[in-house]
Amino acid sequence: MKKFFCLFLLVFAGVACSWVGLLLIGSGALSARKLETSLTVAGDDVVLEMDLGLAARGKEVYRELGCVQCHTQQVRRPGYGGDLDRGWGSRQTVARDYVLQDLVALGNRRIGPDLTDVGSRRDTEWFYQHLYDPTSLVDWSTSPSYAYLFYDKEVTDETSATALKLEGNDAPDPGFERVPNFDARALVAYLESLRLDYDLPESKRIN
Amino acid sequence: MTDIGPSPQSPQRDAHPASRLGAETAEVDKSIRLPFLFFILSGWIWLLAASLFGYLTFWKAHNPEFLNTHAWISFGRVSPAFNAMLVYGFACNFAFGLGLWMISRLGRVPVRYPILLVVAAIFWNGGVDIGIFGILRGDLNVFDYLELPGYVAPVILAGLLFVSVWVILAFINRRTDSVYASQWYLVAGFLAFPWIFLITAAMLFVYPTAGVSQALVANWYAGSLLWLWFGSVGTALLYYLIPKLSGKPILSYELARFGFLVLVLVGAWTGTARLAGGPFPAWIITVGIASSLLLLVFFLVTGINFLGSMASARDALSSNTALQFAFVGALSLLISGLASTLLPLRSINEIVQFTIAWEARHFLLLYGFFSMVAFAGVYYALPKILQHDWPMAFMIQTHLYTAVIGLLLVVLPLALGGWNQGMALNDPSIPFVQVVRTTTVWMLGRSLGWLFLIFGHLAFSLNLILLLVEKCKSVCCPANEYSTTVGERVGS
Ligand code: HEC
Repeated sequence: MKKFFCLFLLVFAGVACSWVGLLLIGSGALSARKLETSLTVAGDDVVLEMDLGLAARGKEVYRELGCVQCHTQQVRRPGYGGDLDRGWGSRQTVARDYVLQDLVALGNRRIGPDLTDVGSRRDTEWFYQHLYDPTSLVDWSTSPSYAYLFYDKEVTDETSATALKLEGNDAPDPGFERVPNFDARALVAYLESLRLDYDLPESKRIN
Repeated sequence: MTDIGPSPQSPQRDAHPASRLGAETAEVDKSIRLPFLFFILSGWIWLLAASLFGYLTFWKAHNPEFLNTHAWISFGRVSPAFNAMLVYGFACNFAFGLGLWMISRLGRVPVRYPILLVVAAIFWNGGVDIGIFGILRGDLNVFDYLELPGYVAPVILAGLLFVSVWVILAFINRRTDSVYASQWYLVAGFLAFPWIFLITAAMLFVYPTAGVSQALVANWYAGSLLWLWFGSVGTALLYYLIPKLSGKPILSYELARFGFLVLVLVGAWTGTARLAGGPFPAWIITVGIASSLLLLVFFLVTGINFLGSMASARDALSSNTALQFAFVGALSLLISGLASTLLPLRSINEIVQFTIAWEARHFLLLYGFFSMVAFAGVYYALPKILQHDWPMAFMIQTHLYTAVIGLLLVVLPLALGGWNQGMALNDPSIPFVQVVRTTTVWMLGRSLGWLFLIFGHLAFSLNLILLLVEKCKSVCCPANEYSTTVGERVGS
C-alpha cells in the first residue's frame, strides 16, 4: 500500500500540475472573459461575431466532412514560416480571433492551403466548382471531389444562381440543372465567412 | 523499490512447472485466460479493420477519386476512423490484455472475477464500435487522437475504469515483496489514462469552452496519451520481456528508476509543443518545448537501458523472434523520442509544422514502438496462457520481416517528404500545387509500406487462427498433444 501511495502521488503530481498549470491557467487566459470582443483599433470599431445562420451549419458540415484532415485555419506570424508570403492572410491569427467560436478547427496538416482567409481569395462560384470537381480548376489537385453534395433538379422558370456550369458528358440532362444541396450551400456560406479582414490591437494587418 | 525487473533467474524458474513459482505462474495464466483472449482477439479484429481503413486512407491521399462516392467513405471520414481504430481499437486492447497479464504475473495474484473484465472489454469495444460508426456517419471531432464522438466517452470510460481498478488491485494485493520496474510503469499508465481521459472529456464535451482553449486541451491530451499511456505500457512491456526473453537482467536498475521519474513528471506537459506558431501565448508553447527537451532524458536513459541489455544477449537476440520484435520496438522508442525532441524546436518546427513529418513521428511511436512491443508480448504470452505453442514459427519471422520493411517504407518517405514539403511550403516562389504534387509522390511510399504491414498482419492472423483451432482440437481430443519445438523460438 505504501508503494502504491508513492506511485499515486507521483502520477498525481505529473497530471495534476500540468492540468492546473497548462489547462486551467491557459484556458482562463484564452477565454472571452479575458479577451474583449468589441473594441476600437486605431479609431475603427471592431466587433467580433459568432458564426450565425447558414454559416453556423456550414461549420458543422466542415467538421462532419473532415476538412480539418487536410486544412488548417491558423496563420503564423510574419517571419515564421511562409504563411503570409503565400497570401494566406495579411496578419497572424491570435487567440482573440477564435474566442467566440464553439468549434475551433485549427488543424495540424496542410495537405491543402490554409483556409483562415479563403473568403477573401475566392468567390461563391469558385467554391461550388471546386467542391464539385477540384481538378477542373487546378490541375493535379489532390483535393477530393464532393460531387455527392450536388443533385440534378428540373429547371423551372429560370436556372438557379447556384447551378454549376457544366458542359459535355458531365452536363445534366436537358431541362435539368445540377445544384448544391443544403449542406453544400451551408458549407460555402461558411467558407465565404472565413475572412481575416480586420485589425486587432495585438495583430495588425501589414501592407 | 529495490528490486527492479524480473530477476535474471526467473525465466529458468518458469521453465520448471514443478516448482512452486511455476505453479503460481501457471495459476495466474489460467485465471486470466478468458479476459486476455477477449482483449487480444478484439484488438486483432480491430487490427484487420484498421488494415483496410489504413489502405483506403493512404491510397486516397494520392488517388483522391478512389471510392469517393459518398461522404462516409470519403478521405475526411476514413482517415479519422483509421486513426481511432489503430489507437483505441487495436493498441488499447492489446495494452489492456498485456497490462493485466503482466501485473497479475508480477504480483503472483490470479485474476479474480475474470468475467467482469470481459464485461469491461465489452464496454470498451462496444463504445469504440459505436464511435467508429459515429465517425463514419459524421459525428467526428476535429482533434487528433480525439476523433471518436463525445457521446461514447462515458461508455469507454466505464470500460477503462474497470480495467484500471483491476490492475491497481492486482498491484496492491501482490504476493511479492519486491516491486519491478514494469509494475511502476503499469500502475502509472493505468492511473493516468482514465484521469487524462476524464479531464479531457469534461473540458471538451461536457463543459466545452469556446475558443482556442479547446485545442489546448486536445493537445495536452494527445501528449499525455502518447507518453503517459502508450509510453508507460510499452516501456513496462519492454522491462518485462527483455529479461524473460534474453535470460539476462536489465542493464541498470538506477536508470530505470530515473527514467520513470522523468516520464511521469514531464510526460503530461509535452503536448503543447505541437502548437508552435499558433494563436497561443508564447509561454504555453515554450512550456511544451522545454518539457519535450526534458523528456529526452527518459528516451536516452530507457533506450540505453534496453539496447544495452539486449547487446549483452546477442545469442538470444539472433535466435528469438519475439526478442527481435522487442528490439525493433526499443529502437523505435529511441528514434521517435529523438524526433519528439527535435521536431518541436522552433527553428525546425518552422519547417515541419503541418507537414507529413509529424505523421512519421506518430507512426514510429504508435506502430514502430508500441505495436511492435505489443506483438512481442502477444507472441510470448499467448502460448503460455493457452499452454499451446504457435503452430508456424516461420510465420512469426515473416511478420517480423514484413513489419520492418513496412515500417521503413512508411516512416522514411514521410520524414524526408515532410522536410521537403515544409521547405517548399515556406518558399512562396514554388506554386502550391507543385508542393501538393511532390508531397503526393512521397506518400506513395507510405501506401507501399502499409501493404507490407498488412501482409504481416495476415501472417499474424493465420498463426493466431491456427493456434486457436489446434488448441480447440487438443482440448477435445487430448491425445493429439504435439511437440514444443516452436515454443523455444519465441522463448518460452
Ligand atoms: C485529402 C485532402 C483534402 C481534404 C479532405 C479537403 N481538401 Fe480542400 N484542398 C486540398 C488540396 C490539396 C487543395 C489545393 C488544390 C486545389 O485548390 O484544388 C485544396 C484546396 C481547397 C480550397 C481552395 C483554397 C485556395 O486557397 O485556393 C478550398 C476552399 C478547400 N480546399 C476547401 C475544402 C473543404 C471545405 C473541405 C471539406 C469538405 C476540404 N477542402 C477537404 C485537399 C483537401
